[in-house]
Parts: sequence; C-alpha cells; structure tokens
Amino acid sequence: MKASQIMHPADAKALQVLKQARGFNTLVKYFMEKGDERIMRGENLGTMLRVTPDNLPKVYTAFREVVNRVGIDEPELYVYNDPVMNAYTYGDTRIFVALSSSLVERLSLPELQSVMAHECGHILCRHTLYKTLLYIIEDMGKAAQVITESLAFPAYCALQYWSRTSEYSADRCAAAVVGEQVFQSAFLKLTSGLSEIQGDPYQLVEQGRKYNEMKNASFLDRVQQACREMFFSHPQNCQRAYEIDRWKSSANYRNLTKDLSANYRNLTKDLSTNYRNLT
Amino acid sequence: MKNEVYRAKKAKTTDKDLQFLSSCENEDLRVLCDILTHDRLGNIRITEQLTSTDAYNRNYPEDMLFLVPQISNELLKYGSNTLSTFWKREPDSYATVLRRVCKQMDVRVSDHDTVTKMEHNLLTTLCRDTLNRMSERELRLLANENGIPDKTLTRQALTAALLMAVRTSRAVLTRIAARVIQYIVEIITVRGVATAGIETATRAVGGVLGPVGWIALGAWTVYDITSPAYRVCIPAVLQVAYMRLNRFNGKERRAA
Repeated sequence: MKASQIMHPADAKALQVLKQARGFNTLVKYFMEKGDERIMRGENLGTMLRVTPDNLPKVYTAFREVVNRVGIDEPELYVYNDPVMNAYTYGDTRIFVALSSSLVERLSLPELQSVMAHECGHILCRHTLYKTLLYIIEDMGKAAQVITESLAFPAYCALQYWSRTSEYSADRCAAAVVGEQVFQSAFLKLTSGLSEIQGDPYQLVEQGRKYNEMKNASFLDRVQQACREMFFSHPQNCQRAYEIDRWKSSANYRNLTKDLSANYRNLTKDLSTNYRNLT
Repeated sequence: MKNEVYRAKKAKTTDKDLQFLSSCENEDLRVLCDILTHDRLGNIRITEQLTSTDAYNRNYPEDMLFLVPQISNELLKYGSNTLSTFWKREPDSYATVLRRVCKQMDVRVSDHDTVTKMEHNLLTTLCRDTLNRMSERELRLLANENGIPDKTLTRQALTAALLMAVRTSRAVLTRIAARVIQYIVEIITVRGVATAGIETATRAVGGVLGPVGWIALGAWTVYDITSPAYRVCIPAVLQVAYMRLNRFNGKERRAA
C-alpha cells in the first residue's frame, strides 16, 4: 500500500506545506529519536503489557496480518489498562502501537484489526513526526510560555486542522485493510463505548449526513460548529463514518481492496501455518 | 438556504464553450483533470477543490464524462480572480479566461475573435515557438511523419514548410500539437516557477519599507495569489484547445 493511495486530499495538501520546513523537521526527528521515543519506550515497557505470540496469540497474529497488508516494518505492540476504548501510535524511527485493554475486550478481531490498521495508516503517512510539531507549539505556548499563546494560536489551530484531516487518511487505511463495513461496525462501538449494537451498521453515516445538513443550514450554524470543532485533534465521529462512506465509491478504494483481498488469502494461509507452529 | 440553491444551480451550469467536453475521450478528460489537480511532480495542488468532491470520488478515472461540470468549473475558477469570483458568485466565462491566457502568452487576439479562432491562434503560435526550438533531427522526423519531403531542405526551409503546414492544415496542426503539447506544458510550468521566485524576492524588499510598505505589499500579495493561476490554467487551456481541435478533426474524418 502507498501513502498516496489512502491520503485524504486535505491531509496531502497540509503535509506538503509542513514538509517545506525541512530543517525544523530534521531537528524534531533528532529530538524524537534521542528523547521522546526512548522515554516512551521505557514507559511502555514499564507500565504496559508487550504483546507477543505467547501471551495474546490471536491479537499478535491479527496485528502481523495488518502490518503485512499495510506494508510497513512491524512496530512494537502494547496493551495498557484503560476502560476507555482508545489506541495510539508514536515514533518515527522506533515506532510502537498501544491499544487500551477495553478495545481488546469489546471489539471482535476484525474490528480490532480496523483500529490497528488505523494506527498503521498514521505510520505509513508519517503523521507522528508532524504531530510532534503540534505538541511542541502547544507546549511552547501553554506550558513553557516561550512564545505567547496569542502568537502560537494561529499555528496551533492550523496544525489542529491538519491533525483532523490526518485522521481521515488513517481511517481510509483501516477501511482498505478490513473493508468499510467492518470499519463502520468498529466505529459504532468506539463511538458508543458499547460492545454490541443492534440495527444498521451505517447508522453513523446517516447521523453524519444529518449533522452536515444541520451544520450547513445557516451561516450561524456553520460558524458555531466550526468554532466548536476548531480545537479538536480528531474530527467528529459521524463525519469520519460519513467520509469513509463517500470514499468507498472511489477507484483507490476499489483497487486497494481488490489487491488486498488477493494478498489476504495468501497471508491468512501463511499466518494460520505460523499460528499452528507456534501453538 | 437561497444561496445554497443558487450555488447548486451554478455548479451544474457548464460554460457554453466548454460543453463540447461532454463528447470528448475519457483519457483526454483525465489528462485535463490531472492538470487541474496535480502538479508536474505528481503532488496535489494546494488550491484545487476537485478531489474532495463526491463526483470525483465516484467517477475518477473511469467515468470522466460525469465530472465535466466540475472540471469546467474548476478550470474557470483557476482562470478568474478569486475575489471577483467570490463577489460575482461565479467565475469568468471561458472566452474571457482564454483571452487572458492568450495575452499572457503574447498571442495576438482581438475582442471580436471567437473562441475557436483564439484557440487556433494560441496553438499555432505555440507550435511555431516549439518548432523554432527543435533540433534539425527532430524537425526531419516531424516532417517525415507529416509527408513533407525533407531530404533537400535546410533547417530553415524545413521549419518554414512545417509552419505552412500548421497554418493551412488542421490535421497537421493537430498532429504537431499532440506531439508538442506535453513539451509546451513543461516549459510553461518551469517558467511559471521562475517568475514566482522573482516575484517573491521583489516582495521581500517590502520588509525594509516600514508599516505602509507592508500594507501595500500585503495587498499586492493578496491580489497576486487570488489572480488567475496561470501555472495551472495555461496548460489546462492548451489541453482544452487541443481537445476541441481533435474533436473537429474526428468529425471531419467521419463526414469524409
């Protein structure tokens, strides 16, 4: 899979602008490698459970499958204790993916793969490097007071906007790996926090359509909703479901799922053999 | 709500001079669409608005005919001043955009020229410029392809013969235009980048002019970035001109 195949246009445009700050990017990458990545690895090893073929074989096998399908180097996988369903990834040279325990408990394996593929999408598009820029600006403004918040604010808002668009790209990766229907079903559970939901798997898409209608009904609504969303790092859940529903009719989605379904058959065969050998 | 309905109606309207796009080849439309959405390095254009539409998602690259209204609209937006489009709520007509491109490319056009005449002049001028830049070997190859005997002709005579063929025969113009269009697009893109660099450097002088200078240069920059994006609309207009020429030739061939 290529990053260009799954990138949302808004994400691709924003990344082009961010990539122009070459010196700054190199500097951030250096500090990530020497600082944050090592510190976080220590934290992960110290407080989380590293997933191996022995302790969580199904989760590990599912993760390997996703990594192979996305076509990235295998990151370290951790599970941490949290009742909130969430997952995150960090790093540019030494990358890891962390899943909350509730995700592993409440989602089915394909749905869990959808979340894993979302994180792998971030890795494929190298979002973590640029998200670190966002945190640096935020910290310089809020915590360190190196630059005043009013000065940091426009850059912060612009980076938050990009952060939201980058989630669409990662969602596309998830939909391409597990299929959009599994993605929608996982997203319903992530939105509600429940492990079982009855009815149409596309109900969040419908909700997204209604949200957009409501948002575009008047100028006041547009401004109010834009102001509410301005500080979010992630888009509204219903909009994410809606965006994937739009993307599923694209040639990129069709091509990716066609290729992936062929790969999937071979990989499943390989992985089941590996799994038998392991057990 | 009224505005939404008005905008929706406008989006469906296609400029009368671009309606022929609905009868063009899928591949030609795809090239036109790619010119509007991606630069020559394959990066997405920051100001394009086509790739995030439902129509693009559904129809690119197989069913480009369904994208014609959106492509036309995007081309006209690139060719018009953004502030003026915002104020009038619609971009300029294709004829206006074409006239602007011709002036930018130093092609002689009058206010009474039709779109076909302007496009013909534009392609002929560009073919002439390209022929003048070609090596003797390339010219001989081109002459051979178009049935012009090249053995006894000098470089100048070959160029003159090809130019005459371009002026008198639409078929030859189409063949040569097809070969040189990619070449021309490349030159224009490079020249565009160089010009933008010079403008940025000149604008940097504003830094020493004080607050009044900053305001003036700020206004200049805003006007400049909202002005017709020639780097995009020149190659796009050339592609449209070539597609129209190609279509006329196809019609003539069928009639014959």
